[in-house]
Amino acid sequence: MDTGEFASLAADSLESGLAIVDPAGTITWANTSWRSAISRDAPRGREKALGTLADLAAGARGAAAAAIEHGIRAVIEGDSASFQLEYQAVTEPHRRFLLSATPLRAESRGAVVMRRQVHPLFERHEPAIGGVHSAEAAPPLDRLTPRELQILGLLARGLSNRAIARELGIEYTTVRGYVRTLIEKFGARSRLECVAMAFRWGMVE
Amino acid sequence: MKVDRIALGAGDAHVPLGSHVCLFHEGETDLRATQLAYLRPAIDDPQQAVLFVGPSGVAERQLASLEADLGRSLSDMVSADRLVLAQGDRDPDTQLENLFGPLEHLVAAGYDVVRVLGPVAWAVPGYPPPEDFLWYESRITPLLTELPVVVLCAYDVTQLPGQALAYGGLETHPLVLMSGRLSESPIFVPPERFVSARLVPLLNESAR
Repeated sequence: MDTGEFASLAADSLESGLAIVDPAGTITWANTSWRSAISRDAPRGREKALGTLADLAAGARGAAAAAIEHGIRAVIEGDSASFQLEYQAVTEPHRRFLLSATPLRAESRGAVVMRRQVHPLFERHEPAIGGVHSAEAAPPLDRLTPRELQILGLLARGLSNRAIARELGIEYTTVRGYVRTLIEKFGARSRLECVAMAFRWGMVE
Repeated sequence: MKVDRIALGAGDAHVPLGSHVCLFHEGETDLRATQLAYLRPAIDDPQQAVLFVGPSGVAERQLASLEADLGRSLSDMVSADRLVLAQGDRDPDTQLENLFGPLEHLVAAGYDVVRVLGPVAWAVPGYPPPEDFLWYESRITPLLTELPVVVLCAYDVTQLPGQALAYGGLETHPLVLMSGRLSESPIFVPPERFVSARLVPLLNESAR
């Protein structure tokens, strides 16, 4: 399918669609927009099931199926941080749409798929989460005080400064100072990058 | 009369107090419509309060748009500390303090309900970097327990990248409001696991 056909199919579906797919391609959750497309296009006998991406791509003709066929195969394979396919509606050239997929690797596996109309100033290149490559830096093991190591452990549990202060029975402003010092000593750009580096170097569990 | 659930002003969605909700909206017009419906009960009821939170200037902008849509000034509410503007900060912990400090004051003042609206930004100056922002979002849910507060975080699907929508919107909010329909997020990650299960692996993958 060329871009023009693809875009014209998408043009009649302006409401954003959101779906979650597992690694097998089965749609495990979808919002109303996706559900409408699925129920309209699903083969007989499977109206109640959410179906799979392959089912939609193989037999259906709706905008959702076309978008999935063009986008999702490229996303589910490999280690991409995310995938975006931007296209312009043929019938309304001022409207631009985006199909994106973002992998899930926490509690769930699979991807979050979104189909949406985007603002003209949409950031086409996602600002990276992290983005600072510090693999060559050495862990600051010998430069951390016992208290700093203790606070690092609590940061690794996700605690806020106030919660850390309560846990240790010290002032909130004292904790804030320790956290800033830790970020500096690690050469990290952010609180969470500091924590991630600590995990990477085995300084916390 | 004790309130334990409130309407979000979209469809027939109602949530219990203490809820943390992700609103996926499509552009500014859509947000303003939801904002007006969600906050109007608080404007009409002197026992309810409003808090806007966001990057620099955003809370003020939301107030201005609300006043425009209502056709009247809300300076009386601001003067009475019944409508509060809270500012984001590059440090996510400071941003958390900037949100919950005023919230706790409003609760202590005896309001039955505090409605919070926070438009979300991603990787903008003066705001936490993405990984820190995700941490900040993950901390809100447990802090709302037992508070007569509902927090509605507005994610603009026409502006924000996929990582913001998936990790920020769906993984840190137990509830999702989209196209007037409320549902539980199927991929909500419990706050106590969010750092180790989501953020650390994500950051360490990007550092490879």
